[in-house]
Amino acid sequence: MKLLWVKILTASIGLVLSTTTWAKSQEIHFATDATQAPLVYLNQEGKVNGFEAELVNAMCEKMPDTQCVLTHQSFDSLIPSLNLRKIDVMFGAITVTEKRAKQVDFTQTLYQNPVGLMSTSQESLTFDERSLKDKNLGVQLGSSMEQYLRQKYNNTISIKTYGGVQDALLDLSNSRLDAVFADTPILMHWQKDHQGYDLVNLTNPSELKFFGGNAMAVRKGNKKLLAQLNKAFDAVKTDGTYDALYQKYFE
Amino acid sequence: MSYLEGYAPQLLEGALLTLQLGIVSLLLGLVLGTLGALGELSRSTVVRYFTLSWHTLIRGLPEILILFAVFYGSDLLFNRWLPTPIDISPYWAGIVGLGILFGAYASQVLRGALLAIPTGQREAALALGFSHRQIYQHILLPQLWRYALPGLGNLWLVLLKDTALVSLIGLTDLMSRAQAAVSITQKPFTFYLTVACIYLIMTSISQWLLQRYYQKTTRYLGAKQ
Amino acid sequence: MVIATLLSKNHTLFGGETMIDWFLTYPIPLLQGLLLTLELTALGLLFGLAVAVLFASILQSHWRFLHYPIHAFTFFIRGTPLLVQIFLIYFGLSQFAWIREQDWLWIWLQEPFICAVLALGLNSAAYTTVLLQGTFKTVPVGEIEAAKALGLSSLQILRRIILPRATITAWSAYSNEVVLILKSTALVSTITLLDLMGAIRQITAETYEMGTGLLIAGLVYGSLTAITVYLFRSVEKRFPPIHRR
Repeated sequence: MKLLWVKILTASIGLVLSTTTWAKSQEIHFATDATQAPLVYLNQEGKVNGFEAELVNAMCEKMPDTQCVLTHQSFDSLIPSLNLRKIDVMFGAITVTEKRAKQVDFTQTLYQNPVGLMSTSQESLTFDERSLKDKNLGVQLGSSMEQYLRQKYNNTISIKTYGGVQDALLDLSNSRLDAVFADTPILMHWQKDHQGYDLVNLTNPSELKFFGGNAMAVRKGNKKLLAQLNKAFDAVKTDGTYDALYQKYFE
Repeated sequence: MSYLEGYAPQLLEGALLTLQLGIVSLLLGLVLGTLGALGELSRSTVVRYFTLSWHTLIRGLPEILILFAVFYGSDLLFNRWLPTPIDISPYWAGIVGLGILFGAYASQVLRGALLAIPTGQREAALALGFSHRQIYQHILLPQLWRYALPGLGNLWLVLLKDTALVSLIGLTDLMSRAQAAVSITQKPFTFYLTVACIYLIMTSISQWLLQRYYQKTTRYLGAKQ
Repeated sequence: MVIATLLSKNHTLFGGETMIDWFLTYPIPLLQGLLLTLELTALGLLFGLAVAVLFASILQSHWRFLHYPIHAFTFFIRGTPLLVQIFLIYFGLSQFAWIREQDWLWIWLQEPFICAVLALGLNSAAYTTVLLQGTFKTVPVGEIEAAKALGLSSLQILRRIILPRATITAWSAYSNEVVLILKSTALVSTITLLDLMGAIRQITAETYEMGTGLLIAGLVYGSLTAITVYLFRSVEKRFPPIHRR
C-alpha cells in the first residue's frame, strides 16, 4: 500500500512538472486581456489578434532568436501574473499611470488613444458632474478609467466594475448601465454593431494628464527585456510597419 | 455547430484543460488529505493541533479567497524571499489552491474512514505484535478506500465545479474561454448554457463511474464481520 | 497576540500598510461590503429554504408529474458550478429582448442584487431539497400512520410531525449549508456587487496591497463561519435529548 502512495505521489509530481517549462531564455510570454477589439481580441481559432497583437508579432520578427507566445487572461490578473513570473510582458490597451509605473516597468509609449464615455443617444452624457450625477457608469476592474472615476467622482456616481469592457457594454445594451467609460477605439468598434449610442471623448487637457499613452509592461527590474522591446519597437517604427498597421486599424 | 459561432473547438479545449486541472489537483489533494488525516490522528498533540487548525482555516474560508491567497501570496514567496526565478507551470497556482482545498475536506473523510474500520482488526494486530506503523501500512490504509469512497467521490464533484473559479485568477479554463467568446459574440446565454451542459456531462459521468466503482469495492463489505 | 498582529507594521511581509490603516482609510466600503454579504446570505438562505420545504413536500406527495421537474432542477443545479449559474442569471437572461420588455420582470432582473439572491437561493434550494428529502424519509412511518388514523390532514401532518422531526435531524447538516452559502457570496463581486470580497478586490486593485486585503478577508470570513457553527451547536444542545445521538 505504501508503494502505491509513493507511486501516486511521484505520478502527481510528474504531472505537475510535465506542465512546467523551465525558464527558456528564447521564449517570451506576452499576455493580454483579449476582449478589447480592435486592439486585442481572440479570434475563433483561439489566437490573439488585433492592432497591438500584430504590433507584438512585428516586433518579435525584429528580435533575433526569440519566440513569442501570446495568450489571453483576465485584466486584473495581469500585474500579479507578471510579478509571479507567469508571464514576461503584459500588453493590450494598458494605460501608463503613475501608480502602475511604481509596480511595473513600462516600455516607451506605443500609441495614444482618447478615452470616452458611451451612452444612449437619449441620455447623451458628458464629462461633467451635473450630467453624471447619480448615474450608473461601467468600467473595467483595475483599469485607469476606474481609478480616475473613483478619484474624481467617488460619491456622486455609481461605479460598477466588470471583469472586461465587453461585459460592461453588454449591460449598457440592456440598460443596466447609463454609460461605459473606456478606451475610445474599443467603444467605436462596438458602436459599429450597435445603433443609438453617442460617444463623447474626454477633452479637458488637465484631466487628460491622468491618462498616459498605451505601452507594454515588464516586471520591475527586468531591464534586459525592456531594452529588447524598446529596440524592437524603434525598428518597427523606422521601417514603416507601424504606420501600415495604424492605417489598417484606425483609418 | 454554427450557433456557437465557431467557438466550439475552443470550448472543448477548455473542457479538456478543466479535466486535466481537476485530475492533477485531485492527486495533490489526496496526498495532502492522507497526510492531514494521519496528522489529526497523530499521538503528538502539537501535530494534531496544527493540522486541525489548518483544516478548520481552509474549510472556513471562501474557495475564491484561498485561490487568491495562493495566487497573490506566492508573489511574496517568489519575489521577496526566494532568490532564483523558476518558471513553474502557469496552472500551478490553480493546482495548489484546489489541491489544498480538496486536501482539507478529504482529511475529514479519510479520518472518518480510518476510524470506521472495525477496531477489532487493530486490536488483533497489536496482540500479534505489529508496530503502529505496520498497522497503518498493512491493515488500515489498504482498506481506507472502501470506507472513504463515497465521501471522496462527493468531494471530487465539488472539485470539478470549483475549477470554474480559476478563471478568476486568469487561467484559461472552460469558463474563461466562454467569457472570451461571450465578449465577442455578446451572446451570454448561449455560451453559459453550453458550458453548464458540459459541466453537467462531466459530473454525471463522474457520478456514474463512482457508482460502479463503489459497487465493485463494497462487494465484500459486511461479509463475515 | 491578535492585537499585536493587527498593529504590527507588516513592513517586510506585506509592505508598508498596517491593517488598522486599512480600516481607517476604507471603513465605509468594507463595512458596506460586510453588510451586503450578510444580507445576501440571509436572503439567499431564506429563499432557498422556503423553496426546499415546498419541493421536498411535493416529493413526498403523490403528485408524480411534479417529481420530474423537481429532480431535473436539483440535477442541473447540483451538477453545475455556482459561478456559471450566477452568470446565466445575470448576463444570460438579459440576452433575451422579450425578457427585457416585460416591465414587471425586468425591474427585478435588472438589479444585480436580485440576480445574486436568486442564484444563491436556487442553489441553496436544490441542495436543501435533497437534504430535506432524506430527512423526511427518516420520520418514523408509524407516527405518520397514527396521525392519519387520527384524521389529520396532509398539511397538518406536514406541519406538526414531519417538519419538526426533519428540522432536528437536518440541523447540523444544514449548518454546513449556511456556511457554504456564506462563502459563496464571495462570488457576487463578478456581477458588480461590492460585497466584502468585492470591496477588498476593489481596494486591492487600487493600492496593490494584496497581502493586507487577503488577511482581512480571511479574518472576517473565518469569524463569521466560526460564529455560525457556534450558534448552530448551541441550539442543538437545547434539543430534547431523545433526538440527539
